[in-house]
Amino acid sequence: MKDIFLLQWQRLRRRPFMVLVMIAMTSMFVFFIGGANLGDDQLSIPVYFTDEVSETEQAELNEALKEMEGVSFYQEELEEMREAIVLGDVSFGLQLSNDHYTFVRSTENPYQSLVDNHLRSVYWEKLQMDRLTSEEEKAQVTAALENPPIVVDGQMGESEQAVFVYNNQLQALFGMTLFFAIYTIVFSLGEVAEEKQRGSWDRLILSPVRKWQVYLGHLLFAFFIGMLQISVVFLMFELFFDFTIGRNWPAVLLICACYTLAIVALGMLLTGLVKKSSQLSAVVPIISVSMAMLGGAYWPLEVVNSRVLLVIAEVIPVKHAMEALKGITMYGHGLTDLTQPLAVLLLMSVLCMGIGVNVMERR
Amino acid sequence: MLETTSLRKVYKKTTAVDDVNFYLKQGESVGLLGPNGAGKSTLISMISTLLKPTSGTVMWNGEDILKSPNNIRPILGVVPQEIALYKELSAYENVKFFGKIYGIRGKKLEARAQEVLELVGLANRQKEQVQKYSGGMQRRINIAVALLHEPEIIIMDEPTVGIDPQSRSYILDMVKQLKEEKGMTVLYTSHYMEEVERLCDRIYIMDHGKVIATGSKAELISILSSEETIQLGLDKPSKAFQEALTEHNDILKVTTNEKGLTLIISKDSRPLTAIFRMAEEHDVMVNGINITIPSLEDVFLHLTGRKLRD
Ligand SMILES: Nc1ncnc2c1ncn2[C@@H]1O[C@H](COP(=O)(O)OP(=O)(O)OP(=O)(O)O)[C@@H](O)[C@H]1O
Ligand SMILES: [Mg+2]
Repeated sequence: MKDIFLLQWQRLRRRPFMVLVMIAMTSMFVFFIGGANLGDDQLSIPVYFTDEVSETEQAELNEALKEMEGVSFYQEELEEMREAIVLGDVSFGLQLSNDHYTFVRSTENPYQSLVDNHLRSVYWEKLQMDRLTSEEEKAQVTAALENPPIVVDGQMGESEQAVFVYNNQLQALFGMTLFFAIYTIVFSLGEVAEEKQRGSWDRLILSPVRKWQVYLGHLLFAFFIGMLQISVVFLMFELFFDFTIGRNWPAVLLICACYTLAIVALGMLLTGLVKKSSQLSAVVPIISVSMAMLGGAYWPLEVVNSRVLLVIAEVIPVKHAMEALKGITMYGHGLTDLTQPLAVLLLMSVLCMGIGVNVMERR
Repeated sequence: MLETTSLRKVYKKTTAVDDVNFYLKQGESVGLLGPNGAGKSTLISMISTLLKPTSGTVMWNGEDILKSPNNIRPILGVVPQEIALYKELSAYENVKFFGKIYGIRGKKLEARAQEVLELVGLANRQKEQVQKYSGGMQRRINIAVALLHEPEIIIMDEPTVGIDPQSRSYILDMVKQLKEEKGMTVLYTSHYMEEVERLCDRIYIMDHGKVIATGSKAELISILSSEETIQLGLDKPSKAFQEALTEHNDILKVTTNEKGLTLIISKDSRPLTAIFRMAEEHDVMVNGINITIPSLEDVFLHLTGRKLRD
């Protein structure tokens, strides 16, 4: 087993291109989507007030808008706002009137619904206030609001919308890294299928090395090469590009290990299912891309509304790994919060591995 | 002794090996001859414990190898039909790796590696990547790897397919040397009559999964002892002429080839005058004639009505 494991490293040294290309691709896409850390990662949204909105009301609205976290608003003329949207400098803008607001946009943006939610509550309060005609009533209500007789402390459960933190950089980093790791891992397992085609498998079987040792050698290699790729990318971005993965590196690595294991097992299953190793190169992109989409590697699952898609996501390892990674780094979760996603990943590993080995031996 | 009885392998659509009885005695060299798809590789895989037969048994010294494959595996050296090597590694690294998995280590491994590399004549180029080798050199390394653990029986599946004449004759000499000097038992598969004729004490001829003839070269040729072969070169093919020949009493079999016809006639008959007369009658010109003493090639043709290689 050790010999077979070491052999794979020896061979990797001779043709390291695939792994290097995967690391390069990951980095490229993280830059593309997440953007390198160039300071301001707040979303800024242009706002235009219609003529009917008075100065004081503008100030009040601005005040209310400021309460929204992670988004900043700036005032802009309508023409310029339109132009910026058309040019794609911003993805949408706001036109605010006294009793309603309008989105000016060209494309969909996951933030829009968040901003919409916020505005809705701002306007709800504003319109209620506007109903009150006499100054006296207004003063009473304002006073009452500031010093309420009953305090209703609303606490939401862990609904995602409630605590949805969106960190574009980490989302891109985790998503792309997990996505491209699938290629490296599964293709390195494809070597098993290749060996069988080439006949070197027969040589191994005839030797005193046991079959499970041969499998284990390949599985271990696939695991380590996957972990290596993930760790290299994470380290690179943490050290050189100012991404803040945080202090909890052991937890991050633990999650990655469980994820890698699940993908190794999945790779084993895929390799068992295909007839030739060349078919693997056709299947892997389909599987990895759909897993990345469904599992929230390309965009956060918080913006997905379809129930069906969310249910499917449950059986995708990418989803659980993303959730766990984001939990640790963005939401400040602790190790105990990881139990569930990690258990799911391990369960998937065991299932896929069991079926995979069986399918492979059936041939 | 290695022996199979009624060995069969059936795939969904094809019967790859059909009721084969085969044996291999210690120290002898046996050839397995047959066209593409005859079932040679399948038979070899079953003999070397790599493939489960559909039915029948393979016995090694009286023991069923299916039940105890580990008795025979260590003494087998199998050379697969494909280049079963890691091509991005050097010949030396390949040899080393396959030595290691046989548990050979350290100085012993180094010595064995150099010995087999020497044997296949590649010691001086052992540091080069296998993928940079010529086809012939790759074949030679493919054999070298199978010899590392000093097997008693060496099984070679078409070791000379698609290579240059020098490499080919090098390999043939090497196999002969292994047999004569090291006393190895050899099972050699090929499409080529000449190779098998040159190397092997006994020959099995396979077609469509069946052994259609077996024996020493002399025994096989004696199948044709009562017959002779005539090659007729014709200026154009003629169905009518062919039919007329088939009708003739002394002509046992007529087959077409690219230049004209191959006739098998009974030994002491003299149908030549009749043949020329018939040619004239059918307006065909005979532009060449060759009467041959039968070879194994003809034996195959006789048995199957087909050439060994198309
Ligand atoms: N795994 C398989 N599944 C289905 N059919 C197979 C399989 N392996 C071999 N066959 C079929 O069995 C028959 C014998 O194949 P085999 O490879 O043993 O022939 P061969 O004599 O070695 O031919 P060649 O000279 O081309 O190597 C062929 O018809 C082939 O198509
Ligand atoms: Mg074959």
